[in-house]
Amino acid sequence: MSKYEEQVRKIISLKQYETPRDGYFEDFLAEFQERQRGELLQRSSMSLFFERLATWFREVGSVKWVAGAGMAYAAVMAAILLWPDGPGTTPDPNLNRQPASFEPDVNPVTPPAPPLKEDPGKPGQKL
Amino acid sequence: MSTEPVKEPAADSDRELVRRAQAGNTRAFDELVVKFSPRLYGMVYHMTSNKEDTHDLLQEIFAKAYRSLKRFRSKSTFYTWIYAIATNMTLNFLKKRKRRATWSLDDLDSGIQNDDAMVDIGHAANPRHQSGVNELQKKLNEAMQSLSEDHRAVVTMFDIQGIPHAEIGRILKVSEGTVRSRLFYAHQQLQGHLEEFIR
Repeated sequence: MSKYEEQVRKIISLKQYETPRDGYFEDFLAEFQERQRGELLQRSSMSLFFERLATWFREVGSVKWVAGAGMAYAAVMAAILLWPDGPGTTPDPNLNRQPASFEPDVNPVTPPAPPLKEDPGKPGQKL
Repeated sequence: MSTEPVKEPAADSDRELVRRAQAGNTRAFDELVVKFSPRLYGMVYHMTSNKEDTHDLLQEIFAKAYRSLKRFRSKSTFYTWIYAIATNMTLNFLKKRKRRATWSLDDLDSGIQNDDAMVDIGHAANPRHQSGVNELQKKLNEAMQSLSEDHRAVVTMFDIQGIPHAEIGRILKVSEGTVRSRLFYAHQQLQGHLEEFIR
């Protein structure tokens, strides 16, 4: 490194003495905490719950993945069964169009068979 | 801002603080903010030469670090990781800013005007004490702003903050040779701007 380059470095390094006012970093932290709190409040409790859950899984390690998968499966099943608009609770749209007294026939009536006539017998046969 | 060369970061204690912060402990993250804000302030300030921009940018940097903390996998130290975030955000900011590289004498920090080393060099260049110091600081800022953003970044980290070449390479994701080469060209350029202060 040349003498001039060394001197340039020495002069530039003087900039390290440029510091903010006393107490700046305390105020900086307070402002940061304020902002952070604001951001947390904006996020929904559900996203925070999932975030904590993800952190917990990360901490317990991969050994617990089976338990995690089981819990996820149980959660999905519970959601399907308890979901208010889930299958099985939706009314049949045709049901409302029918009168209250209407009872659908299980065995619909078939047209009556014509009455049996006497067997005329074969032509030419004696009775 | 630290006036000493960067010491070996206490990686273990940082790792523990990071682990707690990742688990949702905001106080642990506050400790990281307290620990790293002076150094990062220095880096951002020397890059921008503007206090308001530095303040706003530093808030954004820590906010982004907090949001990204879950993705931090300790492949590097937290120190390198957050420095990389700060450098990238500052470089992006400077690219967008472009509109101004001005700074005002009103922005002078109180401490620097009474610093012995600054006074000596400033006085040598200009026997009228205070105007010499002010002039030196003005020239220093102008000289820094004359550099490209990439060159300014390495000068800030190496000459002002004392970060070793290898660490700067990791932060900027460039080779150590690139860091040395950028420093060489930056010093050449600075020499022209600071000629009157070189004895």
